[in-house]
Amino acid sequence: MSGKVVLTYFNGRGKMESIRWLLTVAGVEFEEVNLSNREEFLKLLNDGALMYEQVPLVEMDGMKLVQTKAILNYIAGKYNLYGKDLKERVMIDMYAEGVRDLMELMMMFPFIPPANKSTKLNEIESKATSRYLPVFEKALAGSQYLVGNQLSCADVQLFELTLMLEEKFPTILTNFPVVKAFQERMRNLPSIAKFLQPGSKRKPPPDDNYVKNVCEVFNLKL
Amino acid sequence: MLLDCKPGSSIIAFKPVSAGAMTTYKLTYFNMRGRAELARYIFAYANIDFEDDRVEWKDWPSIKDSFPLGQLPVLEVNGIALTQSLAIARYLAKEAGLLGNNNLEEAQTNSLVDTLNDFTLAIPWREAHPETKAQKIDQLFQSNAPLLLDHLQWHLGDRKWLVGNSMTWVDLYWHVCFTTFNVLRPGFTDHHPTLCALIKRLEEVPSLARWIQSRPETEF
Repeated sequence: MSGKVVLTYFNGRGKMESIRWLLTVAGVEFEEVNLSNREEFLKLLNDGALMYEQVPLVEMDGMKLVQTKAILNYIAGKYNLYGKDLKERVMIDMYAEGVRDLMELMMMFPFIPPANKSTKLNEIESKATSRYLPVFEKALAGSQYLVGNQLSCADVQLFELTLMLEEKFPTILTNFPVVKAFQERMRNLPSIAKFLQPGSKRKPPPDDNYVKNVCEVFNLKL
Repeated sequence: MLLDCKPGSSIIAFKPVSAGAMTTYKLTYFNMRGRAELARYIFAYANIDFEDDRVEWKDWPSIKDSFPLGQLPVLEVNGIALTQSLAIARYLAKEAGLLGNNNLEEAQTNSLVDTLNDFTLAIPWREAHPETKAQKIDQLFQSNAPLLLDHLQWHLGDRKWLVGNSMTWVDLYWHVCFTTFNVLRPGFTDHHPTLCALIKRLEEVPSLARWIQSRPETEF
């Protein structure tokens, strides 16, 4: 046991949510510090805690970790969720990065002007069904996991994505039965079942308050 | 055919006995789940009445020699003593129709039961030195458990039960073993979703749920 893990971010999903998911599946307890106003963020900057003046920030194992992917890969490596060799690792990275590309589009969605939202939504759905989901449908055919017959961070990332997609497009997995079956299987992991219950550390979908909070902290004008 | 063996007697006689509807069962073991729990699960599942005779540790030295091999569990079937926990369970599974639907499935259940048993036997139950014991258990769960779980998961595939299309005694043994292994290393199946799902599925069988909820609570 290596001591406390502390997450610093907004009180919302954003880029930190994937880290919350991975820590949960890895069985690692964590605490959260929420940035609710600009003063708190400026204090963090002045303390020199943020390598690139950005959050997410994860303090673990005596280090102040930034850069979402670096954090995710560290957790994956540490908790045996990164494959068994270099070739499995690159496959995991390929699948996980594809998932993150699509997630990135969805993450930016609350911040784009209302007039562009409908077009953006169509773009997300189209990319999901024509470019990304077919890849995972093929990868999971005849296999319990994406890579190497073993749970990896790519599986956790994909599971999170399927939930995000279904929030926006409830029937999107109808034509992807293999991915749907994968999602059903993953729900059986006790850590995931618990995380999906009310009262867990899972954050709700972004709403107007979340957008306001982020804009205030970063001094963004939309 | 059951072996009619009275401890201390010099004659061992083979006496054909068939266990019919009015069979009396007495299962003697310590007050724990241990190597008797699989038999208890089968009794519960098949709704067969049995005497769940539990021996206290303090009483064991004085009665040990009255049991064949001086070991427990022992199942008395109409007064005839049967030893060896897996033989007991296999017999009860046969009576309850839990051996599989053909000879090959039966062999598969035996194979998986033996595999689970191998892991159980590898646990250093009797290691006196706590640090050594902890280290050996750590190593088992680090190196051997993943292989066991991968093997079980491969067997299970995307079906509901470990062998064939219906529950067999090896599904029950998986729950028995899971319960105890989870005490030694909580969350040891956290990377194996279909095996977790099988545990949940077993706990939803009413007769098993009833037994699990009502049985005496012991660590092992």
